Amino acid sequence: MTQETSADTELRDFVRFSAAVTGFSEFDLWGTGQAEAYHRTALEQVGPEAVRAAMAADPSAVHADPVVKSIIKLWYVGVWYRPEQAGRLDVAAWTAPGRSGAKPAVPEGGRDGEDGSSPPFVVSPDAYTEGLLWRAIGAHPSGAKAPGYGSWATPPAFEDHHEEEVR
Amino acid sequence: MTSYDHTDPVIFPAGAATETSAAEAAQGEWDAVVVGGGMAGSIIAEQLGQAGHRVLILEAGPGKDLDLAEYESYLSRFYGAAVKDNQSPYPFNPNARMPRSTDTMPVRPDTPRDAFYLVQEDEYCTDTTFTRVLGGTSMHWEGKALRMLPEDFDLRTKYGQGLNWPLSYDDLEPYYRQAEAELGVSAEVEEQSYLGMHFPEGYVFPMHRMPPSYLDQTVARGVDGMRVSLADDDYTLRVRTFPQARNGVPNPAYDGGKGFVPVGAVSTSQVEEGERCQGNTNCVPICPVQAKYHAGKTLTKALRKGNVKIVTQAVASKVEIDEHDRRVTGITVKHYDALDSDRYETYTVKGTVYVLCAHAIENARLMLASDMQRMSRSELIGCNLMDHAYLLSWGLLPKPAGTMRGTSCTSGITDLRGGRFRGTQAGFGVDIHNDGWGWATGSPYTDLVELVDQRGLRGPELRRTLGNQISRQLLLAFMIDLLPERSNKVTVNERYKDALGNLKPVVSFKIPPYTMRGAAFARKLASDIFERLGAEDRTVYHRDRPSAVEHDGHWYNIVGGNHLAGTHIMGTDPAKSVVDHTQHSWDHDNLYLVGPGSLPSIGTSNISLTMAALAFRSAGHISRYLRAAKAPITVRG
Amino acid sequence: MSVSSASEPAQDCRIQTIEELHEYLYKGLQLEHATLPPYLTALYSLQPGKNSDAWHVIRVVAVEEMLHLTLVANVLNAVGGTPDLTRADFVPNYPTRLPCGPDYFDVHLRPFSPEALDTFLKIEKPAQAATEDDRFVPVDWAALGVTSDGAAPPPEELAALEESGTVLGLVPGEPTQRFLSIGEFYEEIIRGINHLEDQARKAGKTIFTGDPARQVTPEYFYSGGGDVIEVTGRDSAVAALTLVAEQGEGLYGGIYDSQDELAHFYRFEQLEKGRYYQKGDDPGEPSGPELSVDWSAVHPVKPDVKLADLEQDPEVLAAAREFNQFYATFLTSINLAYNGQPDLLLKAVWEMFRMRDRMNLLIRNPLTGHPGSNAGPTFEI
Repeated sequence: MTQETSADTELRDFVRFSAAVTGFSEFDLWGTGQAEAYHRTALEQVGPEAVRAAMAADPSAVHADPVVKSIIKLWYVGVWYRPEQAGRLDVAAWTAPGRSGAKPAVPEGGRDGEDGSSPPFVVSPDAYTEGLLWRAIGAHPSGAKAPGYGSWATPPAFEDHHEEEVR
Repeated sequence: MTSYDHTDPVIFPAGAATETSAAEAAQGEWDAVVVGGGMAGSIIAEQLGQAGHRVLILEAGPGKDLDLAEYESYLSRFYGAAVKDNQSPYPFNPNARMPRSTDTMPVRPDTPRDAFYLVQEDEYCTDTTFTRVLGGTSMHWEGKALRMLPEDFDLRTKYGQGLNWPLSYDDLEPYYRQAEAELGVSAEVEEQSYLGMHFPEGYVFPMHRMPPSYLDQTVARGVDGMRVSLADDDYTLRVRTFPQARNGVPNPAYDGGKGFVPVGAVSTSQVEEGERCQGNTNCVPICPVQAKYHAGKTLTKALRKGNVKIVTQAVASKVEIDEHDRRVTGITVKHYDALDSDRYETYTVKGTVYVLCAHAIENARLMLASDMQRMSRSELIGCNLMDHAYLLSWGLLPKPAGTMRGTSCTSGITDLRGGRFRGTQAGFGVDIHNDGWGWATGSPYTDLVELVDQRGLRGPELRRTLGNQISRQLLLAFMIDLLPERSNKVTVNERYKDALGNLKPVVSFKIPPYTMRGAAFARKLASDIFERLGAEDRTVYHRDRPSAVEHDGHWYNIVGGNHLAGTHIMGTDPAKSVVDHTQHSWDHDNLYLVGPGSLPSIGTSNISLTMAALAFRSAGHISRYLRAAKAPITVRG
Repeated sequence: MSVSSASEPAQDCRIQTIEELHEYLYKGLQLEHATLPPYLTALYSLQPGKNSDAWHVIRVVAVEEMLHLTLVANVLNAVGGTPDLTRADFVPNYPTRLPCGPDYFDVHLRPFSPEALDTFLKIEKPAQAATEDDRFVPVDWAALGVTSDGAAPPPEELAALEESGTVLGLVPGEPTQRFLSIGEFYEEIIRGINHLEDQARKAGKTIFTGDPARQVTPEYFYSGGGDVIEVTGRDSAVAALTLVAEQGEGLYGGIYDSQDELAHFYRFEQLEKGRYYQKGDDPGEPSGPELSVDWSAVHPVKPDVKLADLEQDPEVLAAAREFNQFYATFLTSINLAYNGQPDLLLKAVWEMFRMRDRMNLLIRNPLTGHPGSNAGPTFEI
């Protein structure tokens, strides 16, 4: 058998943990092509200790480790929101497609903000289009993975909860 | 259509964006110098080029050919941008800046001077934008292509409000058809024949209408047949699709049975993309496949003619005027080296006729910076700035309705665009937004933060709740008429300059009570519609935002529509208007001001189609002007 | 290829009955479809946002293969046949073999690579027979690797080979011979149509007896370049088949087809030459804008991956099975579209987009037992 390096193991553990907290399968997560980039982002942003602690924490707690929240949001929209920004609706609104105005007190472009934190960033262009959010809502990312002419006239379908499909 | 009557695919001539240097352009003698490579400028250049005139386009934006690689760099920039506002696909360019909605704030003496382009010193600030890249604002426009109503052209006579046009619907009708062909409009005549809008016998739109979204159908089930009483009249509402400048299924009956060949993506090589909308739900800020019309499609045709040239990275900085006869003698441009450098050379380009097509704010800004107001008999340059006032209302439907699918907006309610009530309050159109609450709240990202961070949802429950919550979102955007007011205006001020030393536009814009009466009515209507749909009204207005407006004791947020107009209105009297019905300047014989700035009113239709129709009309007049100017006998009567 | 027209004197023609014509056209469907899985696999192996030039070139060719499938179905319907994309063995078991021109080569499911591009060029390569005799080539069974001594396989094995599409381009009914090129294959069908229609007309009849309602007309086809031709008689049938042939190989030795679309061979050649073709160019000498290919920005899909390769990764295996099911359903709906419900073709486009998303998921999943390789769709239908 092949030798799996500890880096490979860590990455696999990260994906396994992410599957549990996002509600998507490991297959789905690998399928985004973002696993490595997200793992690296989390390590770079909060350090290996914090990532390890987050993965060991009780994922079901409402006030769980904010790093867990950052990791979930990362998979869902490809944006790294710093743990200190957890719960900030204004920051979320600022980064959403289609939003206009309302700049929150978090600066652009990598400068330090008023609260000493750096602004949210999109890990890469693909990270946006690979966001899980869009699959969760039975849609596609605005501006990518188009569903085809006229498909919007049909009722929405959700991959995971068929009982809620509307007719 | 089995006989394939093929027109050339839209192949942009490689190198055209850079092959003409500013120095060469300044040495040349041009029949027409066109400022701005957006929708108006491209149509003018294409039409004049077609008529055999030598045309130079001056474009302030970056000098890249319109090819797929460049277009995809826009798309990639959008994907990767932390802030996805409607300018996010386009590179930051300090030398030809654009307003950004994220920069909207009242400018105070201590506001950093590089924090904004559009200067607003009032408490109320509009977050409206326009785009300064090749193709102009059409690169990010949504693509709705409504005609104005016949009654919009004589609002003053009919309802005692606003201004009359020097043109009627019937005068403009043939040009509307020309614009609908150029922009490639998808709609059905039967559905668009309302409130007096009429079409010649046998006319069909180039393509069939966009199919209404499932969300539209859901709303229609509640709204169709709803009766509204307004100023003693009864109106019956229905959900109707909008005409859209995006590719759908060609109508074989078009053009007397010849059919229509959609124009797809523009590039320097043969690509087959964008012949039909794929439902990317991203019309604003960028259609990924170019199924939506943008001016690059017209510009490409223009540049393929050989007698049309373009100089990019050339910011028109001054209109040179002969003090004696008030003719324009040249346009002085600052030609910058690169986006990240403020080095530039100054040149003056000369032509027989000059056509300013830089959009309402930039046309006015350029003329004011050139001190032309003192030569204006009306002194209305920059005045009468208009934009649609948008009031948003949002609610949660009882069942998933498929929100976030389709084009940004496929249908709406248009029955209150016109009527006698316009004597006292503004008419409006209603957009059913297929993209959910995003515009109002920042959804779906805010929903994510709410569910993950505040409610602590995880795993399958998170996934399910998100789907259920977002798919039920309904956003109604009321696009409210706003009449010309002299005090709503663009000015310039020596205190505010950009990186090249050009004066920035200073905008003062307030929402008039006539519009707010329409807004208040719209708000009530939204509540009624939500009630009929069983939707939970979730609308909240914030009085601490720059968009806050008080009316009758209530606060509303009125956001910008990016439908800027009116800064050089057309009319019949040189003392009361800036241009005549051909968009010919009253004060400068060889100057035309073409674009939405000429509109004396904007009614309740997105301005682009009307602006395009006017551009086609004016192109004929400019061509006649040039033929006369070039004629050997120059006796003037 | 040499395009026949009705006015030319009758040429030697292997298609003598309407049933033979139907069988040829079925083989045409099978042939056109067989290129789709390899093209799609290469297309979706490209990492997003990179290799834009390659992405668009392959995408357009793949979309046009769907057009070809539709055009052949229209011809088959027009002559009273019944398209059947759901026959057992309609989808080949990859790698499949496609002898073409002087080459005997395999068509693999594999990621975008110089080898994949080379195969695509061979598939679409123009090859016009110099003489009538050159149009048919005896099959070299050794070169194909079917038998070691080069002798033809026994008849029953031969029949199975012919049916399965394991070797494409064999002459229907005479599987010991193959066509020199795909162009010659369509040339033979055109001759057959002319011959049978001439015969029928002498008897006051026509072979174009199909129900016009079964035609797929332009409004149903989501064009990515090129238009659907509604087939109602001899002229439109010849036009449709000519388009299929020339859209692959170019028209009369030129780089464009009669609809001004750059032929597939030359589209692919652009990637090899690093430059786009433009109007007026001669074959082999593109003079348009430059383009670039990044061979490394590709997901390492395991070539000719089979379900059996996925057993160590149960989630991947399940998804690959689901994909095959999805693909079978997709072929079923296309088939319904070709059998009297053309409006289903609009929905088939939605299914193609969903297929894209499913393929992308598979293609990005690493395989446990095969380090350095990713999963991919197996197309085992």
